[in-house]
Formats: sequence, structure tokens, C-alpha cells
Amino acid sequence: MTDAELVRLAREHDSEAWKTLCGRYLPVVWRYAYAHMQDVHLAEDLASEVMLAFLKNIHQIDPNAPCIAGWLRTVVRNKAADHLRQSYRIKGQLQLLSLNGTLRPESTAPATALESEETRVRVLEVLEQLPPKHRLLLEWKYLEGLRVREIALRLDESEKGIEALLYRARRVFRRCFDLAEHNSGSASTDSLCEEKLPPK
Amino acid sequence: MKPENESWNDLPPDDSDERPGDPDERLVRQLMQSALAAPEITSGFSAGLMQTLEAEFAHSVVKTRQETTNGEAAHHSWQSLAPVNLATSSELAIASESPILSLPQSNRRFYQYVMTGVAAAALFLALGIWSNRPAYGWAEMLAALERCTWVQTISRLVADQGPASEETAWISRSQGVIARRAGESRVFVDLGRKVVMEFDSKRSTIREQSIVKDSLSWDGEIVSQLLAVQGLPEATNFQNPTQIKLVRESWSRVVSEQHQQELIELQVTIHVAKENGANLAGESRDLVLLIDPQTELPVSARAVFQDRPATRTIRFSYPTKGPGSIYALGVPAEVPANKSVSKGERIAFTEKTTEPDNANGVIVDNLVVVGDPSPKAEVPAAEIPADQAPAKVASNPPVPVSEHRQSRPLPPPLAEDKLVEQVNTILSQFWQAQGVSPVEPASDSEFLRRVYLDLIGRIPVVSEVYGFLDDPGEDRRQRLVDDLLSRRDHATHLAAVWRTILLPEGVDLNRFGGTNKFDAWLADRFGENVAYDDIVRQLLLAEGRVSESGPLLFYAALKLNPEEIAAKTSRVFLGTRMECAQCHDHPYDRWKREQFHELAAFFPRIAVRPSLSFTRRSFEVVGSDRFGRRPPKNERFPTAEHLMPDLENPQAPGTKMEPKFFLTGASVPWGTTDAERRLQLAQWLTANEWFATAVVNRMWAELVGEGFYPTVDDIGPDRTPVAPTAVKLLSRKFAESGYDLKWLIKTICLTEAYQRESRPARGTEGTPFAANVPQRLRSDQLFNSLLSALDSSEELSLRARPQRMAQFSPRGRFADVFAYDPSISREEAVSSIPQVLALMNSPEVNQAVSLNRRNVLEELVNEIPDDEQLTTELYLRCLSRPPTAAEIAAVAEYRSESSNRGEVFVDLAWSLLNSAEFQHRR
Repeated sequence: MTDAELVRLAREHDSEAWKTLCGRYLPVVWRYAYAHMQDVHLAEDLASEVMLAFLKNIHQIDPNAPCIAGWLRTVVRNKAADHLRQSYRIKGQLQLLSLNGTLRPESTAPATALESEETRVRVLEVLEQLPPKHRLLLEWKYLEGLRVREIALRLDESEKGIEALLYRARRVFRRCFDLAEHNSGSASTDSLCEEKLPPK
Repeated sequence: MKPENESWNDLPPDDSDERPGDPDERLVRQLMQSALAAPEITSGFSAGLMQTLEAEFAHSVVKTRQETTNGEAAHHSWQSLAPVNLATSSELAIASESPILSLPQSNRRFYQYVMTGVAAAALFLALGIWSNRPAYGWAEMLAALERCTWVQTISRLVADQGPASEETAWISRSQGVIARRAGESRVFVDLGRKVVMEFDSKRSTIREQSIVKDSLSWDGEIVSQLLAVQGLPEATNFQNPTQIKLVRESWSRVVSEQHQQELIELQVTIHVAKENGANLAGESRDLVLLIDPQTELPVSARAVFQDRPATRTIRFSYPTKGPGSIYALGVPAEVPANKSVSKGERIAFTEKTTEPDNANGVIVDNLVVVGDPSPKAEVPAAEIPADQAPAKVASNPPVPVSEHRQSRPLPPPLAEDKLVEQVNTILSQFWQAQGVSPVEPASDSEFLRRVYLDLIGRIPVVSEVYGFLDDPGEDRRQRLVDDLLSRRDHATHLAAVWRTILLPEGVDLNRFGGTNKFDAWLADRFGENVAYDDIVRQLLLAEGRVSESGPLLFYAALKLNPEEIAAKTSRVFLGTRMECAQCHDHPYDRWKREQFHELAAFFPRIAVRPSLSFTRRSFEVVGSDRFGRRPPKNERFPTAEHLMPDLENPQAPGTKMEPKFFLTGASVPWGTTDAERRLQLAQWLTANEWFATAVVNRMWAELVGEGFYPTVDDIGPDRTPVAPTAVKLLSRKFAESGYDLKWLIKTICLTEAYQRESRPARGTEGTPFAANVPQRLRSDQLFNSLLSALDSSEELSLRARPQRMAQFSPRGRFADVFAYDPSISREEAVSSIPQVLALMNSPEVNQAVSLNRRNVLEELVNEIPDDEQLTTELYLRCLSRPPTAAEIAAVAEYRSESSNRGEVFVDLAWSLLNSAEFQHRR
């Protein structure tokens, strides 16, 4: 069943549909919340709030999957910003600890930790520039490990179509990332990515 | 990499994760996984969140359906005039999707703006109409009935054959009482004690049976008694649960000629079944109720039997009082109760008081109190007007909370002479039965110092000592008590005592503005002799700015934590320690963990929010019904209901608890507002028998040195008092007095037990109340006594510079050093090294006890040349008694060894102030 159908059923008070929707989108929310907060407990709080907001706004959200994911990411980002504004000092300490390797035992040296952090931020920036559908496909494919058939079912598209989209998404991601790495700190990758985007 | 010119449709389907031909594949995977790597979602969090989301989803569905159902049930013209109002938000959303999405992008945005404006306007109009749109139904009517203190029904069964029969029923959820009178039958059900009393007119006895069922639900047993199963043979069978199922309901507006007003006609079909073992036999009943649209309370009802040619009409009235016992239903007072109560359940207040210590003719009334211990609440059924249903519904809708925050006038004071005599007789018989003789009555000087310390918190000054000792009147002690109770110092002292009882220790109260406001508020109440139950009610209903409202400190000091408030409330006001049941069932008492959290469920909506003013930042305590209190950091799910933590899975949200009063089992439904919850609890609490008993025991322990129960705040149904008749008698009379604390204190002060000589605390084998027990002075008593002895004042207290902050003042430092837990018995409060050092070496005391021109000591040494007179003066000042001959001789001997007269008497004053006699109240 596609995500759009699930949303429609949930709007008609189908609890199973709502449960399935939550199961599908909680990983997206969780991952994004953790990427922002870098703390399990804070991410749990954030994910709880966002999923409750999802329920409250189920009637207003565009039922297409990329729009749902985009809406959820926006809510995560806004709520994370609220939280960080309130506790920026703590966050600063967390970042400091992170750079010192306290929170990341795999980082053996400060330089390694810094490099890793820079890469992480760069990837997140690149993902922000991608079209919502490309981004969602990449996340489903490479983070959640969904197969093309499953993705096609959720989006109500053909597997070939999904293959093609995935290929384009990877290519755009790669270009944007290379550009961002090459021009790190000098310019925004925004315009560059847009220039290279394939026509819709 | 895939060639650019290759068609994407030619690609093979992707069934494997790896695509070796695409170099971007691995890189993208690696980068994304490193950037967005997140630990696995913990199963506890996932399960808890999913549970919450499902519950929220179900809640939203119910809400939406209720709105839809109500909308369908009402046949009103506005629906046809404004059809957009009927559409639910989901319908609006879905309806607005398809046409817009089919438009081009440029036009879509324009239409979105237009539709948003139209939707907003429609919503605005809908809200305007919707907010005024009432909803009537079975559930709303039940909720309105629950809010009434008493509901009375007079039902009349009219059958085609046979005579008509009539029966009257009373029901009170707050009092936990169901009573019914039909012909010769009298049934009284005490839901708090789970006892059914039935009058057997043939044998002229009352049969009592405990209810085996664990709990009786309002929707089941109680409503069935009122509406549905009256007439069913199983109606009086409380042992089997009743199940009520609403099959159908609809309503419409009608104009009642009989009542001359527009009413709501609610037609319901309910299925009522009595569960009898595995069988569930029942019948459907059609009810037509007329409901007052203002109060949502039923005026009358008509039950139609589907299988019998009969009709039952029921009239409702809502009196303010109802029957307090089965005797109020017309059962003769001489009819004894034939108990057959199982499980060893105590019948504390309904049995005849024929205890051994009352065997010799002391008249003690039969204490028949159910729910409200005050006989004022007990009205014979004969006195309750049968026709209380006038044209408009004569209901007793909930009184606004603000009115409960006001103090009511006390009834005229009771005469305490007879009561004092009764208590004295009871205790003397008690001592006689124990084979002991009490100690002698205290001397006037001992009594004087004791009563001054107990009532106004300081020792008497010399002129007061002489004035009392020279008074030849036989009633001088009573007059002294009256005089002290009328002084402002008494209110101040009582406020200091109750502050230590009400506020927890170890909490920095200065961040809430200190205790000055709280002390002043309490002192004002005690000074105006506000009834004790009113004070408690005002405490529990407090709201407003913390810095401006005295009673709010009670909640603020407990950090608005529902568990802490519940523990403190039960402990202080009911003398029941429930906190052991917070994490597990009470190991020694009957209290279950659920009961503790049900009590805490009265307080989850008390919240604090910052209150900004032009001058200072403050906090405001409010009832937050929408979101509940802000969850602490370790709590994940904000809720307006109290959740009992899951011990097996601490990360789970926990179980939602219904507010339920543990002593009676009475409850309020979920969703009740904070104000109503606290008001209901305050009413149940102050009407409970243990409320009066707790304060009587506490004040007796405070004044006599030992309570009826071993621990002042650990009484309750599982404890046995040492003189049960005396404590019951005092509790009942205290309730009769309108909870008049001054009257209670005066009564205790006039008893022989209070006025006997003091002896050290008895051992376990000793007889209680044979002597007054010495107590260490509280910090305020000690500080005030130092001021009195040294003729100093608060402003110039011990020559200390005035301090802005109360905790840095000498009094504040004394409070820190001499504070002790008010829950422990006074003799257990031993002196500590800091306390000894504070009196021996503190600069303030040393400076005050020295010879300089500003001190009273230099004045006395200069003005009184005779050593013996000066010795007597110092003894009267410090110990409120003249010195004995031996003491005079000892001082004279010490004087002969020193040539410096001033230093000798400074040493004497210092010794007296540091003596155990000065630091104790004997």
C-alpha cells in the first residue's frame, strides 16, 4: 500500500493504517532527530514531539511520500532549533565533548574527529539541496535498506522508474558533494547543485 | 557509471543492494551512513511511543466521532443554513485536495490562497456557532449528576394490574452513599466501607453485609439504582456487578407544559444486566428523560418496560443534604445492627461505643457518622422534603471554586465544660483499669510557663508571673487560657507551628519569596479563628502568584510534584502515611500502590508559569488543563493526567490513573479540570472522619506531649489508639464545633491530662497520659523566650543588626539550628552540639548576657541591691518560678567566692538560660 493511501486511510480513522505510517516514518524522524541532537535521549524527546505533531496535522499534510518526509524533517529542524536555542550552552558543551572524542570513542585524534564532523555537516548540507524525492529515495535505499520493489510499492511507481530516479539521485549527490568538498568554505553549493539538476 | 545516453528503462531491476557497476553507489552509501548514522531505536522507546501514538489516535477518533454524532443528533436549522459547519476537518482537507492538485502550479498557489481565506472565514463562522452549540447526551447527564452532592429520586411504578408503588432513593458520590426507602424496606449502602445495611422490619434488626466486589462503579451499580433496575429483583443484590450498555440515544428540544420551560428530551435505550456467575441475564430498558438545558441535570424520567405492561416515572431533586445512616431512613434508633461483616472489616463509626473505659456510666453518644462525621450533614429522611422538584430544576450545581476559598462563619462555640469532664472521667477510668495513679496536678507556676509556651510561644514576663500567682480566683487557669487564645501572639505562634508541619524540610523557600507571606496568611486565619477545614480547603485550592499569595507556598515548596503533594496531603490532613505505597504496596497497611497514585492523580494539572511584572520576576501557580504540567527532564510524554510509572519498564509512559480518594473509593473522571479535582478532593478530605481525628491527635500530642496514636501522622484504620473513646469523642465534638481550632485547644488545655505535672516520657510499659511530657522548645519558642527573659525586642534582637533576608536574621539562624522533623515525637528531638554551642557561645547570646548599659542585666544589678531578691528576679525571668532554698543557698555560696557582684549574676543568668529547664517546656 502506498504512503498516500495510508494517509487517506488514517484520516478516515483506520488505526492500522496509522500504525503502519508510524512504523514507516519513525526511522526517518529518528535519524534526522539524532543527526541534529547527537544525543539519544534528546533525540527521543524530539522524535516523540514530531510524531505527535504528525498525528495532529495528518489532515493537513500532503499525502505524497516526499512531502510527508519533507514536512517531518522541517518539523524536526524547527523543534531542534527551538531546543538548541534554549540550551545552546549545553549543546556547545556537547559539541566540545564531541570534538574531544568523549562522545565518539571511535575518534582517536582531534583531527580525525574534526574531519569526520566536517564531512557529516557537508553531507547534511548536500542532502538539504537535493529535491525531496531524491533525498527520500537515497535515505530509504541506503539508510533504511529498502529494496527497489518496496520503494516502488510505497510510491506507486514502477521499479524501472525508481531505478532511474535512484541513479539520478546518486549522480546529483555525488556532484554536489564533490563541489562542496572542492569549494569548502568558499561558496555555497546551492547554486551549483541547482545548475546540475536534471530537468523535472 | 551508467552512460548518459543509455535509456533508464533498460536497466535491470535492482534486487541486490550492491551495484558494482556504479562507483557512486558505494560512495553515496558510505557518506550517508556516516553522516546520518544513528543508534538503533531502543525497543522501550519505540514501544512506548507507538503506544502513545495509538492512544492519541484513538482519542482523536473518538473526539471526532462524538462531534459528528452530536452534529447528527441535533436537528437544528443552522445545519442547513451553514452546511460547511458540518464538514469535519478531514472532509475539508480531502475535499480541497483534488481540484487544487489538478491545477497548474501557478494557479494552484493562487487557489490555495483563496481556499485558505475561504476556509479561515468558514472556520471562524463555524467556531462562532460551534462554541455556542450545546451537546446533550447520556454521558453529559451522568457527568452532571456526578457533580451533585446529593441526588434524590422519587419513582412511581404504575402497572396495569395491581396498586402503584413508590420508592425514594438518595445517592451521593462524594459521600459514597446509596440509600433507598420503599414501603417497609430500608437499604443503606456505604460505598466507602463497602457495607450494605438492610433493615429487617419483621425481626426488627439491621443486617450488615460487606460487599465482596472489589469496587463499585458509578456507571454500573449507582446509575442502575437510580434509573434502570429499580424494580428488578436483583436490584438490591450488590454482590454481583451490574453492566450497563448504552444501545441508542437521541435528543430533541421540547417545551414542557408541566415545567413551563424548554427542556431537552433525551431518549435512550440501555441494556442492564446483572452478572450472576458466568451468566449475564438482563433486559433492555427505554428511558425518556427530560433534562434542564442549563444544568444538564434530569428533571424527570420515564422508564418503559418492553416486556411488562407497566411504566415507571422518576422525579429528580437535588437536596443539599441526605441521609447519613440507615437510622435517618426511619429505622428506630434502638434497633441494633446485626453485623455479619466479612474480612474482619472495621466498623469504626457505626458501632455502639461500649468500650471498657466507658463502663461506669459515662455518657458517650452513639457516633453515627458516615462520610461526613459532622452530624450537621445527617438529616432524617423524614425531614427531607419529598417534593423538591419545582418547575425549574432545583439543583445544587457546583459552587464556584472562588467561593470555597472564602472563610465561613463558625457556629456558636460549644460549651467545653461538660466535654472536659467527660474526657477527664474517661481517662480516670482508663487509669483505674490499668491500675495506675496519675501524677499530681502541676503547680501554678509550672502550668503558667507551660501554657504560655504552648499558646503564645514564649515564657511569661515577670509581671505576668506575679499577676497570675497572685490571682486568688479558682477559674484563673481558664481565664488565662482564654486570655492567651485571644492574643495575636497565639495566632503567630500557631502559624509557626503549622508552618513546620505543612512545609517540607530541606527546601530553599527563599527562592519562592520566603515564608513571611505564608506565616502571615496562616496567622491571619488563626487570628480570625477561621475554621480548620476552611483553612485546609483554601490551601488546597490556592492559585495565583507565589510571591503574593501565602497559601501557594504549600504547593511551591512541594515542587508541584503530584506524588509529593499526595504524600503530604494524606500525611498532614488525614494522618495517613501513603508514601510507602508510591513504589510498592504498603508493607504493613492496607494501602495499595494504585491508591497512592490515584490520590496523586488529583494534582497533575497544577502548573507553574513565569509571571512577569514591571518590577520583579515572579511565578504563578495555575491549573493547566490543556497540557498538564510541564514534564520534568526525565519524563517524555507530557500529559494532563497522572501516570503511574511502570516498574518493569521505566521508559514506558506508565498507567493513566483516575483520581480516586483512597478512603472512600470515590473518584472523579478523567478530563476533570484542575479546579474541580482539587475542590472535590478538598470536600471529600475535610468531610472524612479521619480529618478531624488527625488534627485532634496532633493537637493533643502537641499539648499533652503524647498523642492517642504513637505517631502524630501515622494513624488511620490500621492503627489502634490508646484511649479510643476519648479520641472519638473529641473528634466528633471538634467536627460539631465547626472545626474550631481555638475551641479544641482550649478544651485540651482544661483537661486534667494537660494540667498534670510533667514526667519524662513513659516507656512502652507505662500508662499514657498519666503525666504531661516535657518537650524541647521549638526554635521560635526558644528565641521568643530569650527575648522575654532578656527584655529585648525583635528589632534589637540580641543586639544583632537588622538583616534584610529572614534566613540571616538571628531568628532565622535559630530556626536553622533548632529545627527538627515535626513528625517525630517531641521527646525524640534530642539536643545537638550545634544547638548547645549556639546558646553557649553565639555572639548574640553572649553579648546579650553581659553587663553593658544597654542590657537589662546591668540595670537589674544596679537597681536590686539585695542578692536574694536579684536571684529571685532572675529565676522568675528565666524559669517563671521562684528559686528553691537550695538554689538560693547555692547562689549565695557562689557570690561569697567572688568580689565582682555583676559577674556573679551574669554567670547565673547565663547558667539559667543554658539549663535544661529553660530549654524545655515542662
